[in-house]
Amino acid sequence: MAERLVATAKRWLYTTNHKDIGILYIITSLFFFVAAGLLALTMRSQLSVPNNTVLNDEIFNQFVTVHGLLMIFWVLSPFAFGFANYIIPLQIGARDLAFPRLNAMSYWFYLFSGVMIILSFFFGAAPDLGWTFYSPQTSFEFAPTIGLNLGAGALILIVVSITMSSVNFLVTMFKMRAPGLKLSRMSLFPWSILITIFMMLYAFPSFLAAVLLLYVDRAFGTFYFSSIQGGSLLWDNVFWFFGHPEVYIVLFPALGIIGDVIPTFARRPLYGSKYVIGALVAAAVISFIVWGHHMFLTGYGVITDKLYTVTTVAVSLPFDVIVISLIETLAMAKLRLKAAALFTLGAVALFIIGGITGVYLASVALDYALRGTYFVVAHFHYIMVGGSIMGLIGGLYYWFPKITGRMYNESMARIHFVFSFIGFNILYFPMFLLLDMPRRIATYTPDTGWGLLNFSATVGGFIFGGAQLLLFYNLYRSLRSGPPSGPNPWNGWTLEWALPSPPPAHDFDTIPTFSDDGTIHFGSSIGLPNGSSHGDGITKPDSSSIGHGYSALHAEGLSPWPILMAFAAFIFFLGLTIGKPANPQPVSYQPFWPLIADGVILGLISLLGYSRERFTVHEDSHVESWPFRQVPNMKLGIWTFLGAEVIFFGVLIGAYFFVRTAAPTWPTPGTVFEIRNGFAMTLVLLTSSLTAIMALASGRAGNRNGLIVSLAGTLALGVAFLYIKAGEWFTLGSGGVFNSYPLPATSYFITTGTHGVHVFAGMCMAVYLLANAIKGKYVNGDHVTLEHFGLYWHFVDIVWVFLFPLFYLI
Amino acid sequence: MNTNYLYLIIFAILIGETDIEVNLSSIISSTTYVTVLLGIAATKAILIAMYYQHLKYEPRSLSVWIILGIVIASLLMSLSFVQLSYHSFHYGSS
Repeated sequence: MAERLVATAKRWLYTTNHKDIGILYIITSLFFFVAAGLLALTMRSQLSVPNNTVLNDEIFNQFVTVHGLLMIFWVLSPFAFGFANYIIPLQIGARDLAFPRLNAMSYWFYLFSGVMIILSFFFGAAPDLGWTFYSPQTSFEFAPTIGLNLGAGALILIVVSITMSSVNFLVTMFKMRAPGLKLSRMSLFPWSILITIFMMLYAFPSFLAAVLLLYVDRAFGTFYFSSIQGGSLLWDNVFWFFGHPEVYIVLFPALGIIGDVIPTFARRPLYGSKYVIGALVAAAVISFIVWGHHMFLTGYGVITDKLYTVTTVAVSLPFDVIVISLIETLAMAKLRLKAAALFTLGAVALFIIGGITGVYLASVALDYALRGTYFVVAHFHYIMVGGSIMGLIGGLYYWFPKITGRMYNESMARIHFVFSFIGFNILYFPMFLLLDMPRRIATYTPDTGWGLLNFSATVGGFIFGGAQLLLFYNLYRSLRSGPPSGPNPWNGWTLEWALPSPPPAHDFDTIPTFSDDGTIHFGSSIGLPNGSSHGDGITKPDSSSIGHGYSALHAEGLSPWPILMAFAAFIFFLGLTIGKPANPQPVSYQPFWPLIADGVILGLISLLGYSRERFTVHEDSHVESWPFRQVPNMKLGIWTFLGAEVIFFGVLIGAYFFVRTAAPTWPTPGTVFEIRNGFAMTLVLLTSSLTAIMALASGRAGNRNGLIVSLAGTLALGVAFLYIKAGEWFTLGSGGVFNSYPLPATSYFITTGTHGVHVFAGMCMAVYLLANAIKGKYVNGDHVTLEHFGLYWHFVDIVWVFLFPLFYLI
Repeated sequence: MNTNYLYLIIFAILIGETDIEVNLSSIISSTTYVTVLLGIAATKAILIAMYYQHLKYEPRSLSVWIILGIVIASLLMSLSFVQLSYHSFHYGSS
């Protein structure tokens, strides 16, 4: 019994299998869904009648904020990416994601980041200023508790998770599609995920940079957001550049599910599917140039107002195409109204209402009137809960038989839909009528006339919340005793339905092939799961043993390092965050060093373990991989990561330009930051790039001594760079530069500090490579690791090439 | 050409450009100084990416991929500056 328990725990803690991780994502996101829902119901109780005292102002603000953060970051996207993890490899004919251990690490970073945001309730107070974290409310003057620091730390961790996930999915979907599965032949769900990943890749680094600036401001007392030259306008720009695409990031996967579910139950292919995909691409692109409509009230002039009005109206047009396509698909169809179909149809109806009310807000005049009222709350809940959550629940019913091998209770699921749909509308429609009620207020007086509508909303909230109990009960009961589903209970057309339910650990015995006419051909050999070892005992899974035969295969593909690395990052940030600020202006900060040290030590141990672990990933040849056919998976992954880094540093440099342009004065070159220091560091780093490329050349040529000398040179030059940098930091810090030049010092320390961390990470890699080179590696045709290291090291060099003139010469 | 020589030539150009950057302020006017400096930095970055990161020898799709990232980062910066120019009255100078 105990042995079985240990084996089960080990499987779920160490798994790298995409299906296990998908299940973990779904369960964890549902847990956070319940947590966010309970916060919402408590808020609705408070607002049900005037002058209510269930919650005081402070607690109400914390509940509003954490509810919003949880729903947006820890529920909507992770719920969708639970399905993406489980289903996408099955739909595209891949055995797993491209980097299984990275996938596991993404999940654990996600989980620990969620733990951190909830922990914030126990450290003084949770963040309490709305999910938008508007500056200058985030300054210590207005938000003096550690809770906000924890919130910012949690956001950093989850963005790291999302970035790893984006890189992984992108490489998988571009490089690991089954032969014959051209991009144009993919169904809507994988397309929606692919487009979502693109948006994530470009939007989240901007957000990471914004939260990093906020975190450093709060943790170390720098001045980006507490200065008038940066302040609210800088935050608004970097936040909403991410914030508006984020709306589509949480919506698109649900649209993808709808686009797979409705054709299945209507027994007709999606009408104009290529136009739908084109519309998604168009909406994704336009979503990056509409962020200004969140800032109409900042008063940036008529021309810019007009620009953003036009782009905001324009972004609604692709969604018209999608809705028309869905309506055409349904026209004259003999629709089977199963629960999955009901939820997706309901999602479309609610999304239409949410979308139309959003177009109102493109008007500057209406936006001035409606901004910050419950009309906006109603609008975005119709999108995010009506469109997204309802669509995702439809996906849960749709794929539940595939994931578990069992059918759910259809009648109970339909009742769940009826109560959810009615409850939703009773909850949110009255908010459209609360045009004059400001959002985020904890109570109101009877003479406002808001009582009846609020009471109705609260009743609707409890109906909607109560209905979800039916979902959990139904799924729990069905998991234990539901009838077997068979491989394809819905007569679905996509590839996952051709596999047993649940599918075997390795997904496919042989990678299937797609013919030009759309038929799928399978071979008959035995497939191998990823993992550290492959014994002879692997057998074809028994699909009749529902849910159990699967776990027996899972001795393969286990790795302890992803969870340990994520835990190390968690305690590192916890240690950085929970120390107390001793002096508010500027903040004298006291981190909790024991936790930081533990995090660093554990991080280094797990990094070493991760890199030394013999973990094989099976890459099938002859797969569909346009447009990156000749680029190996790892190289594409690194370049994709560097693409995200370009955005990240672009935003940091943009923030520097922003405050510098706005600042009335700035120190002239050479007065604060010594040109000779910058020049010396530039020479050192450029030389290190030369030695790094020489290391690769030596590896290729089989020249062991040349390789060792070049790598040692790279490492020594990295040390020299950090030595000069540290000396400069010490001189400037002890000279009181923050008092004399607060904003130049802020931008300098944050930007060069972030770059310095990248140099240090590169040096850790160089140490590892050097140790291996001394043992004789990389000179026998196995030099590809040197090339990967070089890509990163040269990128760090390129960043410095820009930082040098910006900070030292102008 | 032997690739090692090529790497050395690129290195020499990079060092030369850095030297020009440092000595440029005494040669040209301050109004064009920033533009020229950023231009030189961009050429250095392109050289490193093309030859040290071997982008020149990779499939074109990869270059497009990277350029897309740079375009989006530039878009954010430039549109932010459009807004900032309208907000200059808040700060008195910009």
